[in-house]
Amino acid sequence: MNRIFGVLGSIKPALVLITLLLLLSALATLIPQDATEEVCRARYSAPLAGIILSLHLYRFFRSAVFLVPLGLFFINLCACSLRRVIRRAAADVPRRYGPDIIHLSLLLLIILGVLSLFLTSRGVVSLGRGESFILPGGPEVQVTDARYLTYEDGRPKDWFTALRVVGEEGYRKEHTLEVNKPLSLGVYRIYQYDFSQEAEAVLKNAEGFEGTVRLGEGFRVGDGVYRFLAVEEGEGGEGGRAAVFSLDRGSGLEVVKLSEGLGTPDFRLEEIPVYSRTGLLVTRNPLFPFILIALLIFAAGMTLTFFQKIRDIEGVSPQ
Amino acid sequence: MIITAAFILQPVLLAVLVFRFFRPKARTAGPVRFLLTLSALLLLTGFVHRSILIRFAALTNTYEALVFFSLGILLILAVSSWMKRPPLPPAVVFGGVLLSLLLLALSSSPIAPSEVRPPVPALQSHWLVLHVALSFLGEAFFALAFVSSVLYLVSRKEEKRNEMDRLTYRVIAVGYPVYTIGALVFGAVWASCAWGRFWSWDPKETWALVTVLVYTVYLHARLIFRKKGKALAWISVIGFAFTLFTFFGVNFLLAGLHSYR
Repeated sequence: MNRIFGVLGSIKPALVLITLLLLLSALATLIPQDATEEVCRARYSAPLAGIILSLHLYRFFRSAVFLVPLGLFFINLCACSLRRVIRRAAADVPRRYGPDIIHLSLLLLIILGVLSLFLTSRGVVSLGRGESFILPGGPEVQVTDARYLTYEDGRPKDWFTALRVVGEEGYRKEHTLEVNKPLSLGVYRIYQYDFSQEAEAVLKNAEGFEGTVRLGEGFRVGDGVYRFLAVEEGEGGEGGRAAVFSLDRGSGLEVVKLSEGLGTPDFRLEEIPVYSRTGLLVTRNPLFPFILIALLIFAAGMTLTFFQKIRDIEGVSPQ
Repeated sequence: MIITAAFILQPVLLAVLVFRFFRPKARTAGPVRFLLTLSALLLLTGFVHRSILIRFAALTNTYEALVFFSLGILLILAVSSWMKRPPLPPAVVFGGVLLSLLLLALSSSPIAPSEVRPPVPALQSHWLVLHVALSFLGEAFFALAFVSSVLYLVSRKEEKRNEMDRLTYRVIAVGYPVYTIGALVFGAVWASCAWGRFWSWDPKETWALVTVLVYTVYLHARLIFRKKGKALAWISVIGFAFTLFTFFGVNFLLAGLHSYR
């Protein structure tokens, strides 16, 4: 038993496993991860694609090729850590708790990382002003405002979403969401993920019927098919917006540009409203606080090791 | 202008170190210390000035990262020159200054546009400052370890090799926790604030972990293979190569959240 424990807790297998993990991980970055099988077959030669697909290297960090060495490393680290603590307790050597704290936190992080594969979920929702969604078993989240700010050169400066969280019995909480500043609601976290603008063209035909078409959509009028292609700011009458359509009557494409209030023989363009839509990422991770604590413990171990090494180098305490 | 002044000073510093190589008894320690300190202060001033211009810590693009990396190396050399302990070997100082000069030269290349532009929303986070600053400071230590490892490999004298081996170990022992906390811990916390997950096996994240693992191998191998100095020196050299790939290679060759592709 002691012999097995000695082998399991030896640094030599740890070195082999760490080297294996780092080499495999480096190679995995050369293969697009989470790609589809079709992408892999198209990108690589048949034999290579066969190897990648059979070993699941396109989902490397969830494959046996990664998880088996990681599992062995976990066992080795447990044995190493225990062996180290027992040895140092028995021997008269200077206390060095930094590496022990690092090892413990690494074990925690591996456990939490594996559990996260099964317990976390995420989704993206795109909302306009006034729209809302309901968290499963939780409150309603309403978008009350969404703004997109740019620098003078047009680069994004900031975008934020004003949210109202309505809980049970009408409880309300207001929060302004920005990039890097998510909102925590129990096990859920909401992130400012994306921002887009959607344009619509409000059209009225000769009979007075009004309809709306979104950017990119097409519609048939008589013998022609119109497609709403683009909005041009400042290109309309009095510096307003103009809508660009393509028209296909079967004899080639024509481009039609209309300002608000103008029309063709087929319809009149009433207005071109542009709506901001905010993309919110919603994640559910009940392990979030535990991972944070494990990272803090890891950082504490590293910091302690850092200062112990400084003291060793300065010769204040023996190495 | 300030960065340019620092760039000009460094060949002067290299010339003094070369002079010292041919005239070991000449009193060059003072001028070397002065030039190191002045170069570091100039780069630090340039960093602060640019940070004021963009209203954020100047760590938001390749140009700023290269300047900060160079600053990190010079700061370590300058601080070391003032400490009451045996000074760093002149050859190590020479190698460090040469690396710093190369990084500054690279910052003038087309791969590092130097336009003064405030950061986009994704980069507007205090975690960026901690993550990037500590990562590059750690990498500065790895750079010096690389220099001492190369000197170990080219040295023929046992005494010189032992000195370089001890120096490599000490520098990595200090740089390793700095880099690990900066790159992995603060990087993970920032990722959780920005992207909703601590870790996503992005190529940049993976290569940062690979770099940490290489130096982990070094530190643990040294515990049991103390007499295999050559192998350890090569691990340190490979570690720095991986460090550079994590910085440059991932951004320009691999797709991901940190990619410029």
